[in-house]
Amino acid sequence: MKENNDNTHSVRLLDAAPVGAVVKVARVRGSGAFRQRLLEMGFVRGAVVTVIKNAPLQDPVEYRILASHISLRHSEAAQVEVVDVDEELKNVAEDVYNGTTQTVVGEQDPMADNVLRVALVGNPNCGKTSLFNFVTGAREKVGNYGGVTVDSKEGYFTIDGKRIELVDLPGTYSLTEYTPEEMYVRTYLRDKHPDAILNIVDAGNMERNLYLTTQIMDMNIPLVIALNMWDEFEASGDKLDIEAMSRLLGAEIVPVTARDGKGIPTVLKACLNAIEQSEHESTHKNVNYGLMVENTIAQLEALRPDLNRYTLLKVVENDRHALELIDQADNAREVREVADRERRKIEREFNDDIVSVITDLKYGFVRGALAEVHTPNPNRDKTKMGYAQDAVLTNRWLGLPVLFLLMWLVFQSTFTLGAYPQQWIESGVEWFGQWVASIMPNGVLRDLLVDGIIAGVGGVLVFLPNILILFFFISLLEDSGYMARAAFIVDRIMHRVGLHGKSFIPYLIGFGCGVPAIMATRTLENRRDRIITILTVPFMSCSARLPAYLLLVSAFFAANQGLVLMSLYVVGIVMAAFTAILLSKTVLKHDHTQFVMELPPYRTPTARNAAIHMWSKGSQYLRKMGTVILVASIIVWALGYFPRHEGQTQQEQVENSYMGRMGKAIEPAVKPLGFNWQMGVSVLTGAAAKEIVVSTMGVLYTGETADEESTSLKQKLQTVTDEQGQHVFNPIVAYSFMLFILLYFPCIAALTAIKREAGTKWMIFEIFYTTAVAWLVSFVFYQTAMLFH
Amino acid sequence: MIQTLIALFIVALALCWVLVRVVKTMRGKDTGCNCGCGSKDCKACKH
Repeated sequence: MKENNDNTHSVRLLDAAPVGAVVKVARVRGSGAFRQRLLEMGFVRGAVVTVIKNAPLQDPVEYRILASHISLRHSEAAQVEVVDVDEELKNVAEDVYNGTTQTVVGEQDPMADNVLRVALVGNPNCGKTSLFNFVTGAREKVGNYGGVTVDSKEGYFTIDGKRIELVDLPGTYSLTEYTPEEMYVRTYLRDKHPDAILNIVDAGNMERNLYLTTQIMDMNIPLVIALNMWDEFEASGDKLDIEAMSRLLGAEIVPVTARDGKGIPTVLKACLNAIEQSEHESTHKNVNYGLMVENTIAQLEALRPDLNRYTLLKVVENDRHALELIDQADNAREVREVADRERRKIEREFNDDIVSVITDLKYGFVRGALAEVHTPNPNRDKTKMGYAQDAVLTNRWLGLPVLFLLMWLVFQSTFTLGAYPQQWIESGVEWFGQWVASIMPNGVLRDLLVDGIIAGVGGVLVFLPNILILFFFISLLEDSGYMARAAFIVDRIMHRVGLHGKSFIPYLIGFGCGVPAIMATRTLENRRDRIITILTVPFMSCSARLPAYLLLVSAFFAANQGLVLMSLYVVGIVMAAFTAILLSKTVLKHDHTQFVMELPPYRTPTARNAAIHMWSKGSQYLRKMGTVILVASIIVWALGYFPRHEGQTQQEQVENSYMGRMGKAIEPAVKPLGFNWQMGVSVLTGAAAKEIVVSTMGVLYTGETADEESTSLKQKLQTVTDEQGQHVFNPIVAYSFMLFILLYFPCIAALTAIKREAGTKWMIFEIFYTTAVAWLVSFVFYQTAMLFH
Repeated sequence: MIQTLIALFIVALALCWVLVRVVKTMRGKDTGCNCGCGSKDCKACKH
């Protein structure tokens, strides 16, 4: 066990504590944002930590602190010094409530505005978006893990004739600047001046959640607290004196259950009351930080009366953004001198750095307040509530097999369950095409409608059931809280390729669609991690590529169809890992990323959320069909149809069309991969949307756009011959083609997302890199396989 | 003849749509949607 030189305690490091050990935090080593995050998560002097378990691959480790479970790698846990739980520590903030009352005079009449603005602020995964959806009728995505909301979303509701704008802000543990979301919330509250803040607090984890509340209290903005997940709190048998707590915190507190809407009308009314009261002189509660810190704040307040306590405290903490505000005034030097002098005094007195001291004092305040109002149920072991499933799901031996089994089940169900509605839609599309063909005279318009629009859009429409089923299962996994466990289990593998386990979530979303996956990388703190994840997400085979796989696999692989399909996904994952390693060892070199991840308790998924998720995905897919795919089908049809030459066969007509000429021009580049010009053109048109690969092949090979189940296209692909009379397609060519479709540049929508999230430079890199990888992999595969053919 | 004219008109409309999307994207004045759905207030990808 690692020992540390300390005169008074037998201090050791948290990473050396064995599973099951219960220890007490003595100090968090180091400096910087990661340390600050640890402190805010509750790793303050005197906090009790339980070592729950190692991940199946031994790293990271699950710890319980306060009422939450979090994941830390061994290297990160080595930053925390701990002592035995019964050992006494010096300078621990006293757990006493110590609020002060401040009189605030309303400077302006908020009710004068037509629209009042209420900001939703709270920890990640405390139910802000559920409440937002319930109040505004919106259908924003929610999930049982942090980081679902990555920007603000506005919705409106009316109460007592007043129109109120509700702003759903990203979840944040504190108002510092550790992550882009935290900075976003902080800047929003400072610059947009909401009329009130609705602070959502998880009733099951009040100690950690109220830490953020202490920062909000210092901002002097009318505050209402919604104690969410009240149903679970009541079920736990704990007791809470809400009235007393309201008095202590100086804000109205309303118990709510956001998932089913209980208590929400009351909390909205409370927001309106808080805004109305702020017009007049009102009393406001502040955290009392003790004589020394309060004296410092008073001195700074005298110099900068325009700034609130939150900002002044940040000045004492030497916060960069707060100091920028100070520097804007004439007396900046004087303010900085006072802050520096007093900071040194405080650090000397407490024998710790200022950030630890303030965090300690805030937690002391929270613990003191809770001690007066919260009575835990002594007969119930809450530590295991919502975590019992982990005995199997993150078990050392079962964790990984269960993860693979669940993933396999999700994908398998997507295909098998989707097959039935898929057949119905196919029959419907075919019938419709035949009906239109039968009522219209021969001509260009009929060809456009039947071979271009109906077959093109219909060919993509057939996959709607598969998409809905896939996202239904993903929604269940997200809502239950399993996604965070998946990240916990694979963290070590991700670490090997230079990423954090949290990148697993964008990768998983990438199997559905690259665009939301690229957006989901916003939850990653480190820009380097984000860029690597963004650039590798397109290697996860998205659902739009499925039509091409299904067509080619069914045509050329009679046996082991499932295995062939699975192998493509595996190749994609291997290429993503290879790219991540390559980038993290070259242009995006960096030390390993540190990150604290919370493991939320398991919850039963709700039908409402699953329906919202499926509807959102389904409507997005349908909209895409009505726009991009419709337009692309028309253009592909026109390019393959014109110019018309009398007396030519269908085959000659296509070869001499604009598309035929384009294909012939690029043929030399794709010939070494075993492709002919038709295949070359198909991958080019697939840039608009990957589904169009199949539609294009249909136009070029059969004279009508076809889907993957079209026996005519399938048969044509199986029988089509080149000028020498040899079969164009065989299993090797088909697999080489699928490899290329899997790896080559992402569709325009994904490229636009990359441009927005990472910049133009990385988007251009991605186009060239992925195409080069696709060409090389297909080339090596085709040429090697042909040697043994 | 009428069939050909209508078909060409539809193809021209499709090309115009592509042109407008390309120009808007190049100017950075796209609708804010980057999932390809084209909706002005697409919730899936609104920033």
